[in-house]
Amino acid sequence: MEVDELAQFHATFFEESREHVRTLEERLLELEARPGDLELLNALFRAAHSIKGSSGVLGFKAISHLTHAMENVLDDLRESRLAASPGLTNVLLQASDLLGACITSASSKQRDPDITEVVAALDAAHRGEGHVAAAVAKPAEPVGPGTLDGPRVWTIVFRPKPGVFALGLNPALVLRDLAALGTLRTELLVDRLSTFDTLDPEQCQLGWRLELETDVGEAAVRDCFMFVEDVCELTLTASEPAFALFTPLPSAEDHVLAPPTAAEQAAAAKAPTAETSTLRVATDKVDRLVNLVGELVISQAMIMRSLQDVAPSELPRLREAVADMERHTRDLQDRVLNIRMVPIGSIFGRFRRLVRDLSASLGKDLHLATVGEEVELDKSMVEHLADPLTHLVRNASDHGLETPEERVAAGKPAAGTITLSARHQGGNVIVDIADDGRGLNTRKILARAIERGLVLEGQPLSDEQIHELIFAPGFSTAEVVTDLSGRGVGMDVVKRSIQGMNGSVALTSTPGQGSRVRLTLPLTLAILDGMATRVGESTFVLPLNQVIETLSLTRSSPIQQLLGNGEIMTVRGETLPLLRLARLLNVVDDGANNARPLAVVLEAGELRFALVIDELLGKSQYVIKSLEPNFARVEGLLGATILGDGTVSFILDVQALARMGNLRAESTERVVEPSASPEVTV
Amino acid sequence: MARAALVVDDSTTMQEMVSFTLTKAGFAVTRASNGQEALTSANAGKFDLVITDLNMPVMDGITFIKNLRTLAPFKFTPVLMLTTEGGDDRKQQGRAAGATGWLTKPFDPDKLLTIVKKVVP
Repeated sequence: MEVDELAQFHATFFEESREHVRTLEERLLELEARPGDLELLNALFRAAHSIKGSSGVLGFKAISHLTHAMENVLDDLRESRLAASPGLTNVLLQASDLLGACITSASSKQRDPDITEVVAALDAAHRGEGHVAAAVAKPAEPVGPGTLDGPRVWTIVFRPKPGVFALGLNPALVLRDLAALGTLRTELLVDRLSTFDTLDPEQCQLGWRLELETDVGEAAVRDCFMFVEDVCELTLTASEPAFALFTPLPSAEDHVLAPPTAAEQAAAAKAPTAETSTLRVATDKVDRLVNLVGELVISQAMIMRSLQDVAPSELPRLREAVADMERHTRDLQDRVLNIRMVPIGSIFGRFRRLVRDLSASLGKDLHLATVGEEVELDKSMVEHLADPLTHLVRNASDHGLETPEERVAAGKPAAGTITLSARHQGGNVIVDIADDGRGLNTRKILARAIERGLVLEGQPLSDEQIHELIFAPGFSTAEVVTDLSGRGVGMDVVKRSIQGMNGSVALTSTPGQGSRVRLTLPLTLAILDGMATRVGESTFVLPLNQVIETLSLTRSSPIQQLLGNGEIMTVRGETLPLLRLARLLNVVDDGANNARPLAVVLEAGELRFALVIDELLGKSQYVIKSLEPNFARVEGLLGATILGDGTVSFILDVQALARMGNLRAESTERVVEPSASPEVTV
Repeated sequence: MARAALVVDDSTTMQEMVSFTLTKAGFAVTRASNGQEALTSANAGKFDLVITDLNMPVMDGITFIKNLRTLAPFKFTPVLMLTTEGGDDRKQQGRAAGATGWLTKPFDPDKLLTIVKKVVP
């Protein structure tokens, strides 16, 4: 097979190897806590071994070299020839980092990183206990007469042992292979054949005397006996071409008792595996499936609608059938969406390493606790969570948690704990990143915010409002930019990326006791619980989790005009900015023709506002269709969906609407002076 | 009639590579990622060839081969084990368990087919 053909396995190999590297890293960290745990060591060995095997086949030399060295050391640990020590774990961790780098460079077709140093360290450890490196000396090629050129005649006596059939061996295949090397003459030896009444057909009682005329060497001849050599009597003698001692027999195989293989009747039918634990499927395949199920939901809704026009006598039966279909469709939808769900623990695990490294570099004693690893989230969301979580964990380690001395002085245990937890709440998943550190320093934050021009001096702000300031772009309280923070990512980016997933971020902090950042996330990005609304002739869908209530404008308090273009209304004593959807999106609404206009109170992060619409059409689940591939991005729209009657409707992006209406958090009460960036809006 | 092969390896890369090669050679391939899964497949179907890795989680290759040989339909089926260089004692253990032959990693697809031809008619 050509090199090109092997290339198709690269993607699988890289993906799989990255998983193994993660396993290596996580297990190595666990090994520190439980040195000598055989289970762990076996898992580690297997991970290294597996990469080694595949990389060898695919020709990734650096990777296979490195994993070979790792495997040696892990095997030593497993067999207790070496004892686990922090130093050794460090070398192995280094090796697994380097392995990750090698995989990355191989996947991007770059030059391999230098592995000599780490391999040398591993080899030194491997030899450390006086254990001699397993120099795999290949046995020397047998030098026989066969290495000489020219045709020779081999006389071979071949007597397989009776038990060869039970090893799945078929002596006839050996004869076939020999025949392919030249001219083969065979004589069947039946001297050991028992009489018919005592014949055991499962035992091989035949032998052969063979004459092979060939120009290939002894090695090639012996190669035909590769798997039977140790279970047969075999003599090979070479001579110059001589007379034919035996007349060729028509077919050697005719004389062989073919082993009674079940394979003869074997159906080609593939046996389904009953207990397959996981199945690797390309993400786009699943996406197509999700899309298709979405279409199914839509066509089902269309049928439901057109039922209204069917002859009354047909109706009950049809309605029943459609109701059944609806049930099955929803079931199918649930299950298909479920395929994309992965446990959040898959990213929690990565932070163990991060926290360990941070401990060392910050001179702090940090521990990571994880809760709710089994909580499942859409795969793409889990991936998108990695960066914000990394930042939050870094922040907690760098700013939140104190040095051991400070902690002891404050009467706390010297070791600081960062807790990552996940749980379900309603249709959402709540992810908390909590630390038991010093809490946010409101004084410092305020000072920095004033310095940055984010707030005015002397402006009265509650603690919560001050905490919110750290989400403002470009905000950083670190007095010295350490190598951990100050990497150009701020809390504002965290907030934006979480909001990009239709999620929200909230922060609570208690001085001296610690801080907690709470991420509230939807389960999936593909389906939205929404409320359909009408404005003029258009239908728009609002994300239900951001809808707080609906008010009739005729019965509520009057709308007040502010100077400029602003409008506000008061709802139970709370003043809310009022936006008109028709105006924001430039569509025509009913205007004065509508006797009962409505306002929907919406929540975008910490901000609430009322949105004027013409009519509410009802709640439903909507399959989100992305507009991006086909249309230019339109501000205010999250995507599109297809309604039951087959018409297309837009899903509104509440955050973007607030932005378009120039709203700012609590803008009616607090003047947050417009700084360089109007995106302080949350 | 297409011949059927069962490929057992905990590495998906190896699984895919072996499967691809065998499929090109006309086998219908069923895959399993450990001995336990492979036994389930073996119980549910018939195979003309079994190729198994030795070092696997849940159930290793040697135990798998031993168990496989106790199933009547697999008494005489060719079973190849995937070994690493220098694994002579593993080869012997495999032989004792009932393995037909072995294939030393790393190998290329041509080598795989050469070896397969040695044990499958």
